Amino acid sequence: MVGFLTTIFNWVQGFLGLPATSLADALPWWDILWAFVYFVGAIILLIINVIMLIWIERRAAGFFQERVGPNRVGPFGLLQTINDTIKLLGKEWIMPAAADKLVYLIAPLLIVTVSVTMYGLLPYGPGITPVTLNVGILFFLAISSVNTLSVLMAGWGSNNKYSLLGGMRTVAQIISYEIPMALSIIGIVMITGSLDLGTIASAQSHVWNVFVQPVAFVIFVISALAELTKSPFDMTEAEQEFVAGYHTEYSGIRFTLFFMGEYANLFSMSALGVVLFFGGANGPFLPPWVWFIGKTYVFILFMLWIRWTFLRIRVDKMMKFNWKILIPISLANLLLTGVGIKIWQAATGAIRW
Amino acid sequence: MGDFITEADGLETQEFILNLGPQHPSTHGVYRARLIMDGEIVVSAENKIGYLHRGIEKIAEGITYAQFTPYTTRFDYVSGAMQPWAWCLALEKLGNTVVPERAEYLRVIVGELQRIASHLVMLGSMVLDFSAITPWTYVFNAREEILDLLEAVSGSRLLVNYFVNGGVNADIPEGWAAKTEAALDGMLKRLDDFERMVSGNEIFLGRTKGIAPVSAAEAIEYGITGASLRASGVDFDMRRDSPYSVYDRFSFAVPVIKGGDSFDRYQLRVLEIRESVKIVRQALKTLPDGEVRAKVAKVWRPAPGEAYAATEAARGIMGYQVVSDGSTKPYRVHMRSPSFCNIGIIPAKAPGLTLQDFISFIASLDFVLGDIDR
Amino acid sequence: MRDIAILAAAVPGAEIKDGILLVRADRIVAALEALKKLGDFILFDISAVDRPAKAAPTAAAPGVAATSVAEVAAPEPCFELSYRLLDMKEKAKDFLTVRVILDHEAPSVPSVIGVWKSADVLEREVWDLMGVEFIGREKLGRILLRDDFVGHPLRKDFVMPKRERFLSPAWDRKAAEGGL
Repeated sequence: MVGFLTTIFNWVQGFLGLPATSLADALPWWDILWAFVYFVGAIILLIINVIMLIWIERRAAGFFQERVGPNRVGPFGLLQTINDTIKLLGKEWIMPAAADKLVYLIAPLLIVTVSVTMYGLLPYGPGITPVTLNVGILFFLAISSVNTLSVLMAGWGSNNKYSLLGGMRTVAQIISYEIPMALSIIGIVMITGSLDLGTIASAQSHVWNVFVQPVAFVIFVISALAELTKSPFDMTEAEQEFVAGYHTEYSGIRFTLFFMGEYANLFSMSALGVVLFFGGANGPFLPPWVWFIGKTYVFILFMLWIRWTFLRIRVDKMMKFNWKILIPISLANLLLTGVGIKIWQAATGAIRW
Repeated sequence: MGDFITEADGLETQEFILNLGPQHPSTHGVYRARLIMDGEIVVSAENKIGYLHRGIEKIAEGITYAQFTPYTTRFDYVSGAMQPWAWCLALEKLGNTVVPERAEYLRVIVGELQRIASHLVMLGSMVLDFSAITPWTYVFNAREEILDLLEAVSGSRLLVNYFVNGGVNADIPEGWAAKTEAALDGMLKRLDDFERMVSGNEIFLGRTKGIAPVSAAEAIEYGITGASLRASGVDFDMRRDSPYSVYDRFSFAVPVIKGGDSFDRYQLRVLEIRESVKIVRQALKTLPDGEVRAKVAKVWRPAPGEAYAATEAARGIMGYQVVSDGSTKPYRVHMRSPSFCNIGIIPAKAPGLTLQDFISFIASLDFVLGDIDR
Repeated sequence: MRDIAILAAAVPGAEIKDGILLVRADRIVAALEALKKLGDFILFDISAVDRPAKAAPTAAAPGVAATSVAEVAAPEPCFELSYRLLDMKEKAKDFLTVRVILDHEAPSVPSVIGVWKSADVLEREVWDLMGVEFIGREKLGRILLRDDFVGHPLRKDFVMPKRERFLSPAWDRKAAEGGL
């Protein structure tokens, strides 16, 4: 993208006979402009994604459940989400009188902020990555932990026992499942040798990581579902037990922000999975970003399929599963990966015994 | 159970009161459980009911017997068609009415179809409480087949007004028997799909096995009847053991599971659905011709006296005590509600369960608030 | 059902009237305990019938199998309390009714909650709707009606108040002061 504009700029320069300078030097506010463009782009992408995802989820759910799903508003019900958003925007903002005001108000804002930040890190393609960090994965994992804070703030600030219980459960769950997720990602990092998301994606040009690290893939999928608080790990918003969990007391736009945050996270977590295991934006014929979005959506559909099929796990069994099963398996995976790398290096002569 | 809660030194904790209901997505109606909780664990539970109390027993004293029959369907609205059965039996005892054969068979057929539909609702609601939304839709799809049959025979799907004093309201339409066979096949196929999704699922078993086991002695002590009693190992089913209507002509097994936890109560209802299908098929094959309604006076004045009749309803044993003083209106109607007695065990079994287990427990007991509150 | 004569013999102080065991109010606990010892009974229902007027001596219609009011009930105003037990013994499954006749002015009977725990909810319901006191158990509370409801609706002399209090006491006070 930048290369394209740079080419045009150079051509215009040559045409007008101006001295050859690079665009970045010519305009001092060039970087800020591009940061702003990427920021707006990320927000637009987030909104479009949320709209598409909600529609897909509802139609997919209808398909799984032998019913139709929304089909009245717009062709195939495509405008249903816009309809719902406008409705939600018009709702009254009911705030419980005894709520902890500052905490209550900041919680939804925080979750959207985190989501937009994560969108900025994803490698949509060579040259279209908004922010290229050489510690990309680390930053991604760190930022997604801030979600926990937002949920806890929502649960506490609502001054509602149900919300508090839901919030506390969520914190326990998300914090616990970050560990196997991080451990499974470390395996990939060891193989690739870099924390940068773009590098990890392009390093899979020969073979996708899902074939090299299948165990890590399974662990990643389970941990991702738990991070996103989707079934079978959705006890945080367990309707049947907590009415709506931590966002019980939110209405109108604030509820919309939570909702958006959930779907936005679904996209970014799936995108992370695609980058780590399925080669990111690589693929023949089509432009890279088409491959990226396409693969991400396939992954999302897979997660939605799991969500609509399974029941909810009991909280203590979920914790036991994490600490007693997932973490030992991911540590074992890490060990095997390390040993495997050394054997590979010895076999290809990279090191000498 | 509390092995993930530890006592940190010097950390002060407080028990708090949580009201589960009356407005709650998983309490099967307006049921409130006042729980005192220590973190996630229930320390004590109290049933708080009465949100749906409509005073139907008092209403009965002001209207005629025939006018009261539709009210009976409103007790346990999930199994509306078989609710008036005990009432009609009591009236027939009072008036010494003989119900024609065909009517008895039709009663059995419609009653068992309604039992299947009611058990399907229980299965679906139970897994819905565990957030398995897709199996719930499968179950309700299966139930649709049966509701179509009920609609064909009586005109309404849910609150079916079919049983009357002396027989049934109307004969079955043409082709209904064939439709029923097809519908039962369709329903069983969907039930198999549902079972494949749920019964062996690790998560489901983890949520229901070993939860709130009720022993046979406890079940008898607390007056539990119905599927929950048989799931605790007590072999008692009114249809076989003190048969009313023409149940003694059909051969069916009465499933009994020795165990009594939530999974057993769930499993038993699945087995009962399959047995009910057998009964319906046998009844359809041997359906005799004849009248469907005995002659009962329009303005019916039974002799003064008292009658008691009970049937094995979908949720337990339902009994009606009808006292007549010789006028057209009953003197006293008392309804023994199965769900009302079944919830007596909740405060005894709740301490020690987590909130999620409590939901699993009350879902497996299968009560309906219309039945409890009358 | 098991032969009612055998059952009556097991229960101290019981009389048989038309297939129903009549027991005196103060002996009901002993009666139910004796029945429980015989084995395989479930206490399955407790119901009350309010008979405020003297029962008119009507002859039962010929061939009526039901129990006749005139024969079972005492001719005086009373509350008839029936305990129904489910007999689950092999080849004997049926209902057994144990009846207690209570004074109409102040109906009270010892609670059988010590014999069967299912009596808990059943007794509370009878007290709630009919006003029959059960002695010897923890405080009877309303179960179907509102906690602060006044009166026992199923009684024959209960008059439904014209204006039913519906909202909170604070609201009522405000309404009384004309502040609404």
